[in-house]
Amino acid sequence: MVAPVRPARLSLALATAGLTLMVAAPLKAEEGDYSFWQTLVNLVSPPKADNKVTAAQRTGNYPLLSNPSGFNDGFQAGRYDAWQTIQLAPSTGAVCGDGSPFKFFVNRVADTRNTIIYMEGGGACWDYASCTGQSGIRGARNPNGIPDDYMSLLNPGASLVSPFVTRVSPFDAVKTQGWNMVYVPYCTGDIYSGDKVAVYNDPSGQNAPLVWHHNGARNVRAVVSWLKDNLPRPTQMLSTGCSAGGAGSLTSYHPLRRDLAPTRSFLIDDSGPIFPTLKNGSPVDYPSQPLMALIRSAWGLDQPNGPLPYLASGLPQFDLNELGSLYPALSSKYANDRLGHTHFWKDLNYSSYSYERFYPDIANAPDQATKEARIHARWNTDTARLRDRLNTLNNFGGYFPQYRALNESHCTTIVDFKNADVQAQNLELKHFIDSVLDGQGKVIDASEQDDKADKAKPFNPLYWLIDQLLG
Amino acid sequence: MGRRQAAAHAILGYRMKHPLALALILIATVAGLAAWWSSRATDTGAPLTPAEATPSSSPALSTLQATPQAQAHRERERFEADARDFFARASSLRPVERSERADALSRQIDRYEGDGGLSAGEAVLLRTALVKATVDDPAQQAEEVAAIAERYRTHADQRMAAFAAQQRSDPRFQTYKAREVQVVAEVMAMTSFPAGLTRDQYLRQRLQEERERAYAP
Repeated sequence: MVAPVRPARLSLALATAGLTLMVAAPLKAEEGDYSFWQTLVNLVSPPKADNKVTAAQRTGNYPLLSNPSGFNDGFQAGRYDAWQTIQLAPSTGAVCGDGSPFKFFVNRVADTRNTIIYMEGGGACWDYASCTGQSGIRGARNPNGIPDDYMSLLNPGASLVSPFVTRVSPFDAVKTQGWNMVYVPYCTGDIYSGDKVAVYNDPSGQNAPLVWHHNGARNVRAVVSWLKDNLPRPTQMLSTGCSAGGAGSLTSYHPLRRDLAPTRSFLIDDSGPIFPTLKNGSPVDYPSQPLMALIRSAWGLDQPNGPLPYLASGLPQFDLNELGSLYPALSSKYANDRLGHTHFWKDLNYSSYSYERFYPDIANAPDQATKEARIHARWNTDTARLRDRLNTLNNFGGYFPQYRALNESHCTTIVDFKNADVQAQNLELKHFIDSVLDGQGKVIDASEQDDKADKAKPFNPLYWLIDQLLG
Repeated sequence: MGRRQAAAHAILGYRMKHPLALALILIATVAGLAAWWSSRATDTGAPLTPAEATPSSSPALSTLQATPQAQAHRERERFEADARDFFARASSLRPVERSERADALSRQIDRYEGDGGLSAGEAVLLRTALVKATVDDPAQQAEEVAAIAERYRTHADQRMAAFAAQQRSDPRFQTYKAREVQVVAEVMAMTSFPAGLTRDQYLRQRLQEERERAYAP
């Protein structure tokens, strides 16, 4: 039992520590970490925001809007090492797909400024069937909003927890496990990119139209605004996520990175590719073209001053006729950042979203094997083009292993970093992650030729368990 | 004013009132300088331990280390270090020690999960790893892991059902949803929109205003 500390004595200790840490500042483990002294001070006097939203940032397209004065966001600045639910008021522009309040989660630490922004995955939707979660159709996560105790529920998102946002992973160590963690839940079905209130009619005519808020772009802006107003500027920052969260980390990277303004910034898009695809290209050559054409309209991406024009206004090389130009555009704009993309060649999840409902030969395939083969063939075409593009970029690596017996080979960084190896090059996924987060020179590029070695691996009971949970 | 400037300002004010504070400041400053020089001489890039990084005899340090916050911080660090060490060395531990340490970790997981220090996903992974580390029989392992999964799934189902019920009975949300239908119908019937907005932009703006009204304190 520790004896209580008298306030006067604590004030003196804080004052003394304040002076001492001025001369002891170089004591740190890594760039962005506080000294031991400062950490002790932070525990009783949490560091305040030092990069607040400016007046200019509160205006224009996609402004950074804060909670109104007096609004209880639920944040306790001195509550460390615990998941806190952050409420966002309607006036921030944030909202879930069903119109309920949007919220996100912060797990703060006292010993570093470094921060990971993790965007949850969870499908996508673009019509009545997919946005209502109709059985048999791949839809989007959390159609009924986000409960306050979301992080304590074993929903599919939580069961796919990544070592990136696990304080104590039994399986892998990565430096973000000691960072401030920001978990952004997914409830808009638009890969964090949309800005449109869609009205989807029930094709059967039996139900009222569904009003759905594809509001991902504004939700991310509200999160950024809150982070700027409440936490210190990150020295190091990783933006990442898997699936829709990976795509969201990619599409939001420019404004998020620009406004949070970390000293060193990293991106890892896990299994959320925006494939190089000509806007009016042939689906034979660009298999993702039908999907992209649909979501550009359904999610309001091309509207005047909408998400895509907004992105393009800050990224000179971003060509709205070819959205895969986002990779070189980010690489060029942030030449000192280290960026990475990864997914499996045998991913059968994101690929199914991409093609299943757009190609009759897939929908009407005579059997599952034929269906999967047709999906894989199109995915291979898209992946090969993305791989070749990333090969040309010095600071944007591409890592493409073949197969893992978990979650339809979807997402390389969930549960653990194992079994996403490229055996022929003697590479593990962790090599790629380390190359992004701690490497020098060109970010690793690697691509596996076939899945024989992967499929020869023994049964993994943990993966089986996770698949059961998802099932 | 920056944090360090503010600290110096606070110290200056305090010094005028308490001569003893000046002595403490000098001691701490000298100790801090010594630690800084020590770190410069021995810096290998590895994380510094508290003993290496700070003067153990500093009164200010003792005071800060005695706070409940510092104690909780140390306990958390110890838990994380214990967990990492256990999972790294479990297979080489003697069965009794392995079992005892697993039990201790399990209690810590209960505690941190209970107060929000671990998400459900983190806790499930840790509990699953504990089973893998302590149960040799594959069939029993699968049984125990399945039981963990079932417990969490049942809890999640119950909580999500409770959340859905809460949404249905939340007058603010219900007020908004009722207005949402009306505003959508109204905007869809319009042919021109104010301030040069498109229909989509105007609809989004109108619905945000409705939410602001419904959720106003």
